[in-house]
Amino acid sequence: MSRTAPARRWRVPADKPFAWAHAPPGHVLYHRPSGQTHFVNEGTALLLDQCLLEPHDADAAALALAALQNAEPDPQFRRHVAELLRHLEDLGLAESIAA
Amino acid sequence: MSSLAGTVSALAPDVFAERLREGLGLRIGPFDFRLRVRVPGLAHALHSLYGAHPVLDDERVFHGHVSLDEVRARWPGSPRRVRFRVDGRRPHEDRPIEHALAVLEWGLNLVIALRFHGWLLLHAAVLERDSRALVMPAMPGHGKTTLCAALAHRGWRLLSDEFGIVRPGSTDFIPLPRPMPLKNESIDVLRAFAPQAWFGPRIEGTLKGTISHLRAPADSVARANETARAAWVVFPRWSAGAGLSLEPVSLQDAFFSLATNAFNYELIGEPAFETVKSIAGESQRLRLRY
Repeated sequence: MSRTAPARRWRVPADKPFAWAHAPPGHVLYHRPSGQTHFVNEGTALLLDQCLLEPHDADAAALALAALQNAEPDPQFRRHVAELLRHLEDLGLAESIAA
Repeated sequence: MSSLAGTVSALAPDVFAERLREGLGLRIGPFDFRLRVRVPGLAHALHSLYGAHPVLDDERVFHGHVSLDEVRARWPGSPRRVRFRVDGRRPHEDRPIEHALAVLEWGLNLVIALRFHGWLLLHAAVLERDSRALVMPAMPGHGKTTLCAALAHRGWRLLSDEFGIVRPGSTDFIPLPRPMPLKNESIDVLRAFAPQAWFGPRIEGTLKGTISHLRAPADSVARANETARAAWVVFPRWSAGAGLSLEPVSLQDAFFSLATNAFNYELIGEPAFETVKSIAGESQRLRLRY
């Protein structure tokens, strides 16, 4: 008997956890809860600053990011976004909730 | 009522030496320290190196009570050593008496770096021209102090060779003019470059090699209450035989280097983030290789 892993959705907590410095070619964010500063690229900044204001599963987040970046949400892009979401969760920058 | 009591050079050397043995208030940039030094032979160098600094009376709350004492030998013939204390505490083990001046200067650096978190403390040399600050953050060994000392003797006002001090929320740098510790080959380079400058004794065999302290220009000390707004952030990198080059630095790289070269960025938190953002964003950013 096999079990399917429950679907997960990710979001940025609603209590404005970030301060931003837009510093081309990337962005710098200050994460208030941890007091840590992170240097992130455009895609990660869009995810945290726009896409994850509402909870999204990995596929929906990939679609939203692809639309903002005018990119093709092919399987490789989706896998990349899924990995990135888990990494952001590990860093405490995003939180996952049950779908 | 507290007041200034003239400068160190206004005291005769023997009077200064006696005051130093008992404890002497000294204003060094924004800090009021009470120094007590009981190490034979050190008063002469301090009288010259701090000649332009204001002497303070004792009617005040000092930022720190700093002392340097020769410690009694553990057994006959054992090496003579000195003990640095701040507010009665020893932050590190005793050091050879031959290094006493360097121990005192490093001790003051340690106190400043570890205690005063009302300011953002960047590890940077800072100079001023036309009310505009040149900020030079760098890791040890990148030539920061040497370049700073040279510029301080070519028309730039010295704010500090070690600490870029700003109040969070401001980009105005606060001066901390002090003796500049030149190391190894830099000592003779600066002696030739600024023959009129006064150097302290050569101190051999320290953890950083040979050191000699260069006195801060008197005008820089006299203007220690004049801040300067950040205008240039330059990352110097000296290497033997390198040509001179100057290239732009991205805002992201400048932010990263400023933050990682700060003593207390993470401790201050978001106000430090906003301050670094302003300094990096409002300044011309360059990397200097020489």
